[in-house]
Amino acid sequence: MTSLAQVTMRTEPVNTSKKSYLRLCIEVATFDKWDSFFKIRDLYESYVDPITLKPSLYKRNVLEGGYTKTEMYTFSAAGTSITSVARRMKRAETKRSLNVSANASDVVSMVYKLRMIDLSKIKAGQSLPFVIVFDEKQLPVWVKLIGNETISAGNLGKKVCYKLSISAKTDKLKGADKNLIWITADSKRVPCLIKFSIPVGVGQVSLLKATGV
Amino acid sequence: MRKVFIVLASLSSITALVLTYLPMGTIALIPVALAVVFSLLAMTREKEKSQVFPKVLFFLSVVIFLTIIAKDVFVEDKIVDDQQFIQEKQESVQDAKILLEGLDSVR
Repeated sequence: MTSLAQVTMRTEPVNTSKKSYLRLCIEVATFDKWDSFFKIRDLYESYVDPITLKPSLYKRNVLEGGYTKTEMYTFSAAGTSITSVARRMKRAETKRSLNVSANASDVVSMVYKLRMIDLSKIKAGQSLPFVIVFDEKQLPVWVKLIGNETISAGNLGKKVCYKLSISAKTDKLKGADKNLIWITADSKRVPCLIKFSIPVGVGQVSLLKATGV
Repeated sequence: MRKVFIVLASLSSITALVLTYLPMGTIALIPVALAVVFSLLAMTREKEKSQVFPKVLFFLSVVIFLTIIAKDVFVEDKIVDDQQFIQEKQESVQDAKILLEGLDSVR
């Protein structure tokens, strides 16, 4: 096994003249040993309501090897439509409008919404439905609670975690119960371990350090 | 058979060398293990013939093995301070603020 990249999840308040937002950010950057061979600099951002985590703006800026992609979704006030502006590589920018479910979110805010749910009230085997918009498509996602497991959680030590399986009707995720996330079974609900199976192979994201939670 | 083992040991050593140069972590231990096995097998066959080349392959495999372990233990994974990426992140927040101001005004 080899370490490829560092994933950083960060939140910060962002204020406009009329409203306060919470910026949810996920950054992915390859370790310097990989930069010469396959450089990754991904930035996923969601600007959400600090209480409901309802997104207003989602931005995705991807650099993976020679591949680049930018996406920006602006959510309508009701949340039932999205205006998407996207550009892949050096192609012309495309602008589209999409009708989506009122509870639709982006992939970043979905991760944080998952952390807001009191999973102690969910039974093992029970699934929670989510709707996300990814690659300009609305996508139903199910999160199934598999059970509890004690795992190593970086600087937090050994932690009892909820083991969750994520599935979606997409060719981007492979296999049944092969896309898993472990979230600490405490009030902080810190994601400690993610295992994923995608068309190019399998990967794992392990928590190294959690601060300010 | 000895020649087959020498060829296999040579190919495994070359693969291990390439993987050691690339940032493939301990994956390179697989061809190293094969190189050690094949070079030892080559040494045990037709002992009356010169053992120099199988011994060189064996020694090379051991050196590669130690290099892989040393890299794994002593070389720390780190990300560089990518100024361009840092600037892009800052600009992204500024752009977002302008867009959110626009959204606030129409809501």
